[in-house]
Amino acid sequence: MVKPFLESLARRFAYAAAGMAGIAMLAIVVMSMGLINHEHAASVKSLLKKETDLQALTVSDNLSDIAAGMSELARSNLIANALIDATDRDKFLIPYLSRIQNIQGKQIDILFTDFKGGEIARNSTGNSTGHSARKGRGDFSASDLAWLKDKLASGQAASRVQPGAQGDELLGVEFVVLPPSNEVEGALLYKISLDVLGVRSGMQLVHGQASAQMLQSQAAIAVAVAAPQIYQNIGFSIAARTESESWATEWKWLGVLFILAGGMMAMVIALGLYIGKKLTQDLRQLQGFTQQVVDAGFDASRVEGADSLEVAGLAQSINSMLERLRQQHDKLSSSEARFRSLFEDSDVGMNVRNADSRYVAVNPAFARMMGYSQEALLGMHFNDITHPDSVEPSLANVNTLLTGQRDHFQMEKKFIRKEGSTLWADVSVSVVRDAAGQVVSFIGVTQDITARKQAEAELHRFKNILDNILDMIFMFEPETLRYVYANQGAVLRMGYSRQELYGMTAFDVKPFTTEAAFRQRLIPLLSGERQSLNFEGTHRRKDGSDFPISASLQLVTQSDGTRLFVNIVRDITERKQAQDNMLRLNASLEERVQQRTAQLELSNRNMEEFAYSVAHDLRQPFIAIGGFSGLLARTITDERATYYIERIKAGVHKAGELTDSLLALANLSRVQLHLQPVDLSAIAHSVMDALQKGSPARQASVRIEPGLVVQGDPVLLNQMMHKLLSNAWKFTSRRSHTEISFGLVPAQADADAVGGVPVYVVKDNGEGFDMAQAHKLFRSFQRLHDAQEFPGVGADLVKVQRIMERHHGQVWAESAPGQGARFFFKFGQ
Amino acid sequence: MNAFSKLLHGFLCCLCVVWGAQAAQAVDKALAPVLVGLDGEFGREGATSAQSIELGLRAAILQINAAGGVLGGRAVELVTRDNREILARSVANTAEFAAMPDLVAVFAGRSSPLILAQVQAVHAAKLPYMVPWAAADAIIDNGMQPNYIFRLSLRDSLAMPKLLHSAQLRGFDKVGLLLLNTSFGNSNLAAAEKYMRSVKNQKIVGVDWFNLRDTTLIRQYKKLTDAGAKAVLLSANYEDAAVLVREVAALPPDQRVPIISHWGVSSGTFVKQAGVALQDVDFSVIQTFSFFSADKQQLAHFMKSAAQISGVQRVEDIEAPPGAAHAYDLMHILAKAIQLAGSTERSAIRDALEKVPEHRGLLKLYKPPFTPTRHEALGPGELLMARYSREGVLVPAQK
Repeated sequence: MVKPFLESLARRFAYAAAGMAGIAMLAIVVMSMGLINHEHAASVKSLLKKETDLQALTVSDNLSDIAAGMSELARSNLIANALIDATDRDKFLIPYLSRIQNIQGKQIDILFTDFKGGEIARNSTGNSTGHSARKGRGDFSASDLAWLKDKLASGQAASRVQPGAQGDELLGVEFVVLPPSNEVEGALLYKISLDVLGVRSGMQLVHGQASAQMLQSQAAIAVAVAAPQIYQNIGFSIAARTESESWATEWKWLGVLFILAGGMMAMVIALGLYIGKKLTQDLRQLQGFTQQVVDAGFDASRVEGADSLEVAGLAQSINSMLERLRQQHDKLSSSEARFRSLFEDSDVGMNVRNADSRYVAVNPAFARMMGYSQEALLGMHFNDITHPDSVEPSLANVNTLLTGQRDHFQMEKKFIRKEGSTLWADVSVSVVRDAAGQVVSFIGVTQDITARKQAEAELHRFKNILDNILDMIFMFEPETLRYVYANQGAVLRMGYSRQELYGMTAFDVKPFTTEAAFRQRLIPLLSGERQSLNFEGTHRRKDGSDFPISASLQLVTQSDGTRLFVNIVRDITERKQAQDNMLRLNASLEERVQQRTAQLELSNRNMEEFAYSVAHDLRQPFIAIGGFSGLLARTITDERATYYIERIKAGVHKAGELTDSLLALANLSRVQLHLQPVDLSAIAHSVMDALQKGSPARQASVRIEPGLVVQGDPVLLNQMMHKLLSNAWKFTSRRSHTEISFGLVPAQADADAVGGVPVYVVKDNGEGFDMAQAHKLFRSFQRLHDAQEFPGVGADLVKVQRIMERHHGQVWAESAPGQGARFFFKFGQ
Repeated sequence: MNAFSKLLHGFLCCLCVVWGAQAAQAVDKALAPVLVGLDGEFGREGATSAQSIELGLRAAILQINAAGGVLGGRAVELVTRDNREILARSVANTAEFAAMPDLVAVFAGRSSPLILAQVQAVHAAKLPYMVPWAAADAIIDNGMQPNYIFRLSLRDSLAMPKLLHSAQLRGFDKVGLLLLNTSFGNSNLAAAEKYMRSVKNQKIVGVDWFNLRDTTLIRQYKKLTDAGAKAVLLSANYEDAAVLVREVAALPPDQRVPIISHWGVSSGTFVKQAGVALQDVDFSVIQTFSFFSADKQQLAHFMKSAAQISGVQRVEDIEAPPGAAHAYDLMHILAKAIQLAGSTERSAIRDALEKVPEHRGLLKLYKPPFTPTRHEALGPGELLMARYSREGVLVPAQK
């Protein structure tokens, strides 16, 4: 039995761990000390080395700057001139040199000498050379100058380090040569304190023998400075100032510590073995029980008794765990029953296949889909019911599961039902693997998508039809006007590929329409004001040629609520050509009508010529008959014969009047017009005055509107006015009071006058006529009244009409029997 | 050494023996020679002026010694030093010459700046200083009394007016000046500005500068032509002038204007450096003298001596001709002065130089060469314009 204070396993572990941790810590502390010391030393050395390298670079750069600066100065024109020309040195050379107080920020003293070392100029105001004692900046000692002369004699540019008033200084000489000769004609002696070379504290710039020793020493950290040629003889190097610390004594103590630690470790191991055995006694008993549970399965048996509190607690926990496991086992059994019910009752086809892809479980839905019984499907390979088109892709997919490329795939595939029909299905297959990764089974979920596939095929068919319609069908977005669809007809007629069209907008193919105008045209459709727009226009093909189109544009709202313009466009090139042919035919008909009219006019003129000839030729025989009838009447006394002769004379007289009228009428057509302003009012006054003088007894009131002047032939218009007014005078002869007027028809009262053409009217209160007879008024030798009532041959109004025709005008009349007559006339434009 | 070289060596040795025998007749070799110094730019690469001066001096000395030397039979001997056209070297040479006991005078080279920087030193040493080339006015107008410097050469204040006048005669009423940025250029600018104050129908439309060792001058040239210059007056040494000529020749013909040059270009291998470009550029240069129009008798005398001491056989063989002609005449005048002074005392010779009554030289009859108030042997009357022939030889031009 253990002592009471060790009853707790935790205490036993705590004491054991504390002992071991203490020992381990001691060992770690000792080892860390050694390691840290070692690393510290290595780091310090590495850092110093890097810093020394950097310092050497800095000094090297500074030396290069000085060498380059002096070399450039030696090549300057002013220095060259000064070797040849002493004039104006004070003005140019001295100020030039005085400005060079430093090179790259390093203060420098420069002495410019001739080939013998004689001073020409310097950059400071120091005393002349040659003094043995140094006086300060700008002074070069006798030793400096002796060195310079020595170098001039040897002809070798050189440098040296010498002690100065303020530490070591670098003395250098740069020779001046005047190309093309290589002879030394002058020298630039310069001096610069080593302090300005940029050596930091902790570092030292060493040279000469000291430098060589440092570089060879293993203990020292020293780096050679890559100096320009001129300073290489000096042998500059940078050395780090290291503090020598000996670690040897400490390592001795460490050795002792290690031996102690080794002994303690051995003790700890022995102690640990013993304690371990004691500590694990309870646990081994517990292990025996758990092995029993594993081998026999869990039943009602439970762990009993334990030596330590922790193991007793553990035993209690194992007992509760066994109880919980039993409860979970029960739950799992009911859960499996539920899942099995889900599997069995689902509308979705489910199956489990073994690693050889043979069905080991199928649910009723899957069996129904395939038209087999569940039992019949078990043992079948999935290829047995897969449509030949889908075998290969199915195997490929399964292969990716078998090879471990993935754990799941989904595909659409075709099956063949038992009765031979095809089933389209969406198949999801997951793989189940064991702990070693080997495929145990496949779980498949299958959904019947035959109806969706048929709908897709239908859709595809319609799209195919749409695509192949020869009319162009475009669809474009309302906002961007960019084409989103164009059928094959559009592709063929426009000459663009579909991809090209999808990169274009609806107005891109319309050469005569701007985007703004096109958008304006769409507004009625977008606002819903109109359902569709039909219009004609022009499209431009890719090759730049244009063709006429008629288009029917609609705004269609799609199932997702978005809107799309559908434009059905037809190439109307042929229709347009037919219209053009029609227009050309019309033009040709018009021309033929004009030709026919011209022929008719020619025929009319010929007839008028003929009438004139007949009238002219008939006059002479009538005059002869009249004359000889008179002579015959004087010689004949027989009463009966005298009566006949009088009848002959009257007939001849009538025939003469007709012939004269005919001749006058024909003349009207032949006479040439002389157009000029004609005062119709004045003519009317003159005519009415003559008529009234001829019948002074008649009561008449005459009204003539003054100032009516027209453009026309004065002779013909005189005749026309005379005939119209005489006509009025004649047909009012039976009225007790004659009323005759001439004037303009008020504009508002006459439709013709509204068009701006003045209409004139001669009114009377005479006999008037029946409007049914009006068509005879202007026919040759037609009379509406008996000649006994009103004398005349019926040619006057025909003449009036002919005169108006010659003036491209019109004459017409309105009347009613006993109501007087109104004769209107107007002139052509 | 091959057979031909041996033969040539033998021939030259014989020639020296013959010439030496002749000289021995003329001067007494026992007497110390009278030394004459030449501080020339021998080592200045491409420069031929110092060699030309030396040719003139040696030809004259040959004749003087052949005629019995000076001061009762003392030979005249030439001592040359190279200054490479570096001021410090020239100063060192002058100091060395001044220290030579029997040296009576020093001949200078072509560079005005070198001489100007040494006016004080020359007078301190009381050293007669003969100038056969350098043209800066201030060399003679140095303010020293007595004046130890004598010149037989061009004078800038005469050269620039001559160049400007030449331009005017050729119808160039607008000119530009392109000058070397040394006292040489400054002296020329001052001369040009002074001359322009007296001229009405001509205008300087621009002045531009370049430095020694500049590798291009075309920017300055274009600036002047853009300003309306119908001709560019150039004051440069031969190497700068050659650079300019090559650059101008590369321009389209309608952008080239004539270059009227100071004679600095004739001091070196200008023709060689300018190359065929010189044929495409209208280039004229001021000269004091042309061997092609020299007095026949004097010329033959000179050519005979020149042929004895050098490879010069024809007039065309003389490089940098003004140096040779000036130095030749000046050496003869100096010899007459030494005779007149009767000693090698330098101040006496200086005084005597002002008293030589006359000398008939290559250039003209000097009557007298110098006076106490005139240390210039040449005047405006000697100036002429010349052009380079296709063979690269300077020949007199019309304007």
